[in-house]
Amino acid sequence: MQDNRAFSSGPTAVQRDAEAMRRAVEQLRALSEDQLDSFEGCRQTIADLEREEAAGEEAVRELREEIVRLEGELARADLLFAPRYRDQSRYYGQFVESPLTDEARRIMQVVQGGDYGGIVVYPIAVHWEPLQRPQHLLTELARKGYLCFFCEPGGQFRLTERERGLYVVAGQEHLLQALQTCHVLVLNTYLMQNAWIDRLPHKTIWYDVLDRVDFFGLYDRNMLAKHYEVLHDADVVTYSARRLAEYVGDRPDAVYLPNAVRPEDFRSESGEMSAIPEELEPIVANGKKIIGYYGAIEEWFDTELVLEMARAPQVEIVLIGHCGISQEPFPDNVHFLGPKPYARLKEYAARFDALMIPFVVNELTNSVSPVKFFEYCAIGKPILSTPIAEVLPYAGPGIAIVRSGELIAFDDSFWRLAPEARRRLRSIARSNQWKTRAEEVERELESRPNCLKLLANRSHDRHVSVFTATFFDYDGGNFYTGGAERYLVDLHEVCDELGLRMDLYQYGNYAWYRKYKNIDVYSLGHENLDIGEFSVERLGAFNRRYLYAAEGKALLHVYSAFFQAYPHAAHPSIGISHGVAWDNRGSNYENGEQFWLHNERFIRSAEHLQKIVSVDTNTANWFQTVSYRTGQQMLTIPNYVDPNEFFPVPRQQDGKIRIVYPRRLYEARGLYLTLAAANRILERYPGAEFHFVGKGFEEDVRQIRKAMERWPGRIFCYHRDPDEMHAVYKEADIVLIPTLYSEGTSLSCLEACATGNAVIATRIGGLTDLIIDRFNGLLVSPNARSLEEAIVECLESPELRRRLGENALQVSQAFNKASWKERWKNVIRDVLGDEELRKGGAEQAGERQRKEVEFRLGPGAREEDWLPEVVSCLKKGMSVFIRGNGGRPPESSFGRLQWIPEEAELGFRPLVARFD
Amino acid sequence: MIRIESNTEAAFLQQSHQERQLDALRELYGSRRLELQRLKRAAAEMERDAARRREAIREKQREIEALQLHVQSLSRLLDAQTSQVSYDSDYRQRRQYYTDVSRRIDPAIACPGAMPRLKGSHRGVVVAPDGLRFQNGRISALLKGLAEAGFLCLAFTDRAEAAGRVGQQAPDGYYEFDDEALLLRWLLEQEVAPTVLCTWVLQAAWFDLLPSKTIWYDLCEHEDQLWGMDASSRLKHYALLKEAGLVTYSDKRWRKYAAARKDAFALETGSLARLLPDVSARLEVRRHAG
Repeated sequence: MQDNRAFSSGPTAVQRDAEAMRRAVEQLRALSEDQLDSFEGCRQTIADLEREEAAGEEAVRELREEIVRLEGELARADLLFAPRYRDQSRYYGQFVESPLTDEARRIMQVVQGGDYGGIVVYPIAVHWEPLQRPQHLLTELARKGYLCFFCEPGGQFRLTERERGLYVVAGQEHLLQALQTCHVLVLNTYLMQNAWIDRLPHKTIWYDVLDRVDFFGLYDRNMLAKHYEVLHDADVVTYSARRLAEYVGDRPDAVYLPNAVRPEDFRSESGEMSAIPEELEPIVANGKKIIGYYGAIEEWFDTELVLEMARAPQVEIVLIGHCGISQEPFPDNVHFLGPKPYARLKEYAARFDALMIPFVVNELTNSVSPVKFFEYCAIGKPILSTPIAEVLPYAGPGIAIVRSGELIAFDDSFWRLAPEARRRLRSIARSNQWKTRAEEVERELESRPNCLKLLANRSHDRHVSVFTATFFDYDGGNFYTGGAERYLVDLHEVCDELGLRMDLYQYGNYAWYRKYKNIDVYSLGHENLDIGEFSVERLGAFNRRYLYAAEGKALLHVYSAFFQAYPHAAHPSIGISHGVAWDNRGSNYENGEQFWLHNERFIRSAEHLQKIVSVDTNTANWFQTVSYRTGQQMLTIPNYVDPNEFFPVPRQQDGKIRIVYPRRLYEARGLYLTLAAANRILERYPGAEFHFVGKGFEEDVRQIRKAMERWPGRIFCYHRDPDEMHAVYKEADIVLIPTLYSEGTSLSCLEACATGNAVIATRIGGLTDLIIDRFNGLLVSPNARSLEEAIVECLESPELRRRLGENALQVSQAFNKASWKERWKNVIRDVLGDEELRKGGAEQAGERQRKEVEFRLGPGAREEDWLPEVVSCLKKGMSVFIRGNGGRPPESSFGRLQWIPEEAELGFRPLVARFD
Repeated sequence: MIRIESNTEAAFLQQSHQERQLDALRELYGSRRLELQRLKRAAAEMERDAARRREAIREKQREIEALQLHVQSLSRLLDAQTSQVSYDSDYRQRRQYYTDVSRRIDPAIACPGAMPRLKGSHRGVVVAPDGLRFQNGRISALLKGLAEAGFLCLAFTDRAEAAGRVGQQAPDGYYEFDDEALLLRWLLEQEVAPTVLCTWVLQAAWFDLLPSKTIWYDLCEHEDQLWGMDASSRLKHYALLKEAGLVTYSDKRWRKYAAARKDAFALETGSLARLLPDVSARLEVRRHAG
């Protein structure tokens, strides 16, 4: 009843639903209409965007055309190559002066970790694929044991090992940083590469002329001038085609090195035919003969000839490679498949019935040795080629020369290769292999003394590495016998006792390497960086060179003196202060800015080193006045004396009093105070003698000689090696340490004390740490009068001399060398930690025994006799020192190959090989 | 059996009709909804397409900007070129000047009496034309040394420079001149084949007018000073390296510029006294070799 009422009184539930549904449908309709409206809007937007895109394309096209036009004008004005070159050169220059990048560190790990014969680099010119001459040569050199880097264009850094020893690098600026201290063989085929190459300090240039110079992009006459520069400068010159001889005429030693093939790359592993590449399937299915080509399809492609071939019945033509020409003229039986990976070419070639080189014959193509020709020979199928100069001599069975406009007979005899023709092709391939080409290049390199540096890179084991200003002189000649150098010799003993090896790096005028006893000493200089002037820039450049040489390679970095760590330091790090070295006559400041300019180097370097060991308290106290924290962090380990070597002996009773100045002969050490005092002393005390024991510069020595002329038999000047110095002290009565500035805790002072001498020292630097005035010596003001008075006092009073000497001996025991060593060992343990120390020791134990050999070349020495021996020694990892006839200037040295002057003394005993 | 009354039957029919209508409406709703979804999907796809296109346009815009910058930089290079004097034009002008002026010189002025006397005892004639003012004193030191060794030496000096050196002693056989055109005329008249000490590529504008000469190419400055980025100038350098009878360099830093000549040797300014006998011997050998 209720339902009936409902029917009559109002809408039913179904009606309500229907109504709601109607409304919903209506809403959907409205929504759809809205959607359609917006859809239309979208369509309009896309149409607008399409127009915008097209306009963009057009703008790009116009701009590109404009660039081509401008480049044409620039080329005519010779402004195309040089500005681009200059920009790139500037970029790479700035990059090598920047801090080492993480990417460079990654490469350095590869370089350090490798056991290779030499390093070879091909800077950016082309991509790795398609494989061309440089890629093949690098592959073969890698297989011969060289570490090879092929640089590819591309913004993002990539380092890919393609096979053992062969890396492809994108981001060659990082490689540039990583190779700053290595010697590199650079394969140079494109002159723009030299913007990168110029920034490599150690290199052997192999200039490979593989195309006409005027064929290259960015060619103008500046590029031609660059060609001459590189041609004359290169260590080895090769050229790939006979017609290119016109470019290498200035180099009679240039080597003709045509292209070649790696035959195994074109043979299938099993000897069975692989599956048909998908794109080739429909073409093969046609059942016609296929003429194949692979390589670039550019303006030198003989379109007419290919069209004529395509007209032949029963022929399909397959072209593989980048196509830079219009495909329009070609009929349907000419197939453009685009580029294919090198590794897959054989799969395509397996389906070809013949192969072709359809190049227009002109100056350009006549100057090209087509790699594909030798590869076609290895494939062993009939070859059709236009008569380009490098192929023409091979015309004969299996190789047909074709010309556009001449009828080509594609009869059965053409397609069926006779056995002797097949053998001939294989024979051509066999005698033109990349492997053989690489061997030829290696032979060339090894037969030229100027190229041997390539084999002379040193291995980088994890040693303690010291950066110091001088140990030897800047040419690696004389060993400096100053306190700082002796300190390093003793520090070497400390490292040795810890099971660590210590190397030294120093300023130098070229890339020399020397040994002192068992310490390897390397100059950081090179052909374009010497230490001719002490400018801020030059010192910064050497600081950077040290980072390149040792950062990330050494176990520990020791800066001696600590301010060698300015502006940058490698870590873990320890700086050594041999005393305040900046308290000289220049220390007069009118304002804070002057003070900062003078002292920034010291303050900043101390701040960023992890630890500083100072030989005196004076350094720490000075620092505390400018940087409390730095002063607090300094650890004082005073200098030392070895009581087993320096001890008192009874003096000669010959009536003479020997006053010894045992120092470097120059002003800072008080030479002129002593000379001034000497005159009056010698006049007054007939038994007194002055002994100046040390080395000095010419002018200073001349002043002593003058004094010697005035006082014959009373003033002496001579030098003693450090291990002979004890005898000097043992014969002395009074020892003078009359320093004016730049003094620490003088080793001379301590040695004089330990040998029981009466010591007269100035109050400079750390001397106050050693001498308590009137107890174990006399401490005087730094002037001649005070010095003279003190000498007189000692001469007048033998009792004073005796007492001072006895106390000096007592005090010297507090500076025992054994305790100095222990304190240093603790510092090194503390910085490295036990684990690193253990690893460093284990690495040294595992190092191969390194040997040094000296080649002495007599007047009759023949290069063909000694050169192979040198090569053999270098390949065995030995260091080679060559002197005598037929050698090269010392500046040509690098790493393990050192050309030394005839008169040079070696501070160690190498094996000797004589060639008379 | 249930009997349905007529009004009930009508109601039932009506309800059934309404339900069918409802079903139809539902179906319509469903299809409309699907249609709307399809439209929405299509619109979303178009939005995405538009977004892609916008990104492509932005990318293209960036490319355009980069290309525009490139065009600007190339244009600037071209513009800058117009403000620079090229080696070629400088060479042409100088050569023309020397040719014209030397032709106009009164033969009486260039006669032997007015010029240094050429003796049979002279080991040769060495001329240093006008060049860049670097390596202060090197050229005169070289020529004075050679004059002492028996050569007749002529060094270009401009008047102001010469005035500053009043009273200085010069060895016999050493002369300074300030008129290159006159000297050219004299050398041509006398049919002298001198050795020309060339220290700058542009000097070729003068000595290329001498039909017979030996070039002594002395490299004593950085390349930026000597030839810079001018291609003709650089190529002239390589041509001179080939043509020169003698190539020297003043510092090991410049040795690389002479890499084309294995016989080039260092002639450091500080060691001239020691090295000049060797130079004079080589010059004499060259002279006799023609």
